[in-house]
Amino acid sequence: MTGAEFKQLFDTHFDAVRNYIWYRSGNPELASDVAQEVFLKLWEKRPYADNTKLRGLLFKMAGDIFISAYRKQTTELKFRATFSSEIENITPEEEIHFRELKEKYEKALSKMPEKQRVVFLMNRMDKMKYREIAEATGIGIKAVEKRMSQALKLLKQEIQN
Amino acid sequence: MEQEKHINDTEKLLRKLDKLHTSLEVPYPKSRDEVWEAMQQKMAAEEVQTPRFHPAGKRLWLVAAALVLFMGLGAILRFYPHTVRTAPGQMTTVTLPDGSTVALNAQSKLTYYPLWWNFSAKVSLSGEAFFEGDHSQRFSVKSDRGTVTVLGTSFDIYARRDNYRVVCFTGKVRVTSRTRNQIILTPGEKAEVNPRGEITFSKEIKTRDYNAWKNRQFVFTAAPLTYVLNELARRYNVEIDLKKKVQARYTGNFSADIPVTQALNIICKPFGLTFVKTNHRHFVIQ
Repeated sequence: MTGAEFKQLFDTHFDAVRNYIWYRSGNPELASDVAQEVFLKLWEKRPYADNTKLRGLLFKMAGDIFISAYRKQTTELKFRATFSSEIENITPEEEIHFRELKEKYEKALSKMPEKQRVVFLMNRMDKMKYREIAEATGIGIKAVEKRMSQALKLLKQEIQN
Repeated sequence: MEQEKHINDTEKLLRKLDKLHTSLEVPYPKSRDEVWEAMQQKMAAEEVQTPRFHPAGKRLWLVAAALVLFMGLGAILRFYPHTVRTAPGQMTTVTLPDGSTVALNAQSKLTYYPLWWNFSAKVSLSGEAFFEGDHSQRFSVKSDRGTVTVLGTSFDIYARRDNYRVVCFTGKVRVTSRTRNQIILTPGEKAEVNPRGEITFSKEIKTRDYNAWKNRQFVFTAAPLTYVLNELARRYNVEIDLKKKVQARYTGNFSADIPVTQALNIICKPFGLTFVKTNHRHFVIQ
C-alpha cells in the first residue's frame, strides 16, 4: 500500500468510521481518537486483504478499539450536535421548531439502545444501505431491519408525545 | 386506514429528521484534514525509527513454515503404519482400532494406519485373514487383485498369488476387482477374482469350510492338489516339491495339529503318491 493509496482510503472511510464510534458512544473526542488509531494501525499493519473486505475490517477494528477504550473510561451518553453555520433560508419560527425537534431527538438518541442507534444513524446520516450496515457491523440484514423498526418506534414515542 | 396513517407518520418523522441531519454537525474536536495532519507526523516518526522487515517476505516464510509443519503432521498421521506379519507355521489375532478382530493365517501380512483410522479405515492384506466384529464405520481391505468394502460384519479373505477369494459369513461385503468389477456378497456367498479382474460368484457354499483354518482344521473340497500342498507348506513351515504333474483334486478334512508326515500321508495315499523327507523341512513327492 503506497502513501497515496492510503490517503485515498483515509478520505473514503474516515468519516464513516468516526461517525460509527460517535453513534455508539456519543463522545466526539473519543470517536476522533478511536478513528485515528484505526487508521494508524492500518498503516502499521498494511494488510494485504482485498479492498472489498477492508471497510468491514475498519469497522471491526474501530469497534474493538472502542470497546477496550470504553472499558477504561465510562462515558456519559449525551448526544450533542450543532446546527451547521451554512444553514440558510430559515425563518425564526422554523428555527425554533427545529431547535425543539433537535433537543427531543438528542434525548431520544441517548435513551435508545446502542445497537439500534448505530444502525439507525448509519442509515439516516451516512446514507448507508442495509446491506452495507450489515457488513460493517457484522450482523445480518434481517437484524438491521429489525433494529431500524425498533428505533423508529422509539423515536415516534419520544418525539411525537 | 390505521396502517396507512402509521406509515404516513413514520414517513413524516423521517423526513423531518433527515432535514435536521443535513444541517447538523457533530462537534468533533478535529476535522478530517486535521486528523490526517496529526497522523502524518506519527507515521513519519515511525517510519524513521524502525526500518521495516519486508512484510511480504516475512509473511511468506511464515506461511511456508506453517505449511511444511502442517503437511508433515498430516503425513505422519496419514502414513504412520502398523504392520502385522505372520511367518509360515504361525497364526495370530489382531485387534483393529474399531475393536473388531482379525485372525491372520500363516504367512500373511496386514497393514493399517491407526492414526488415520477415523478419517478412512483402510487395511491392506496379502495372505489369508478372517475379519470379525462390529464395524461401526465402513472400512475396506485392499489386496493386489481387489478391494473388499465392509458393509457388515464377518468374512474371510484369501489373497495370495494363486487366488483371490472372499467369503461372506455375516452381514454384507462388497468386492471390487482391480478392473472395477463389483459384486456385493451376502452370507453364504463367495467371490473369486482371477488375474484379469474377472469375478466368479458362488452361492450357498459351506462357509464353515473357509474359516476352518482358524480352528486348526484343514478342509478341502475338490481343491487342486497344488493348492492343498501350498496350504500344508505354509501351515508346517516346510517346502514340498511335487515332482509329478498331477491334475487331481482333493476332498477331505483333517486336523492341522497332526504332524506333517501324517498329513502328507493322508493326502498322498488316495492318489497313489509317495513322499520322501530329504531334510527336516523339505519333502519331495513322487
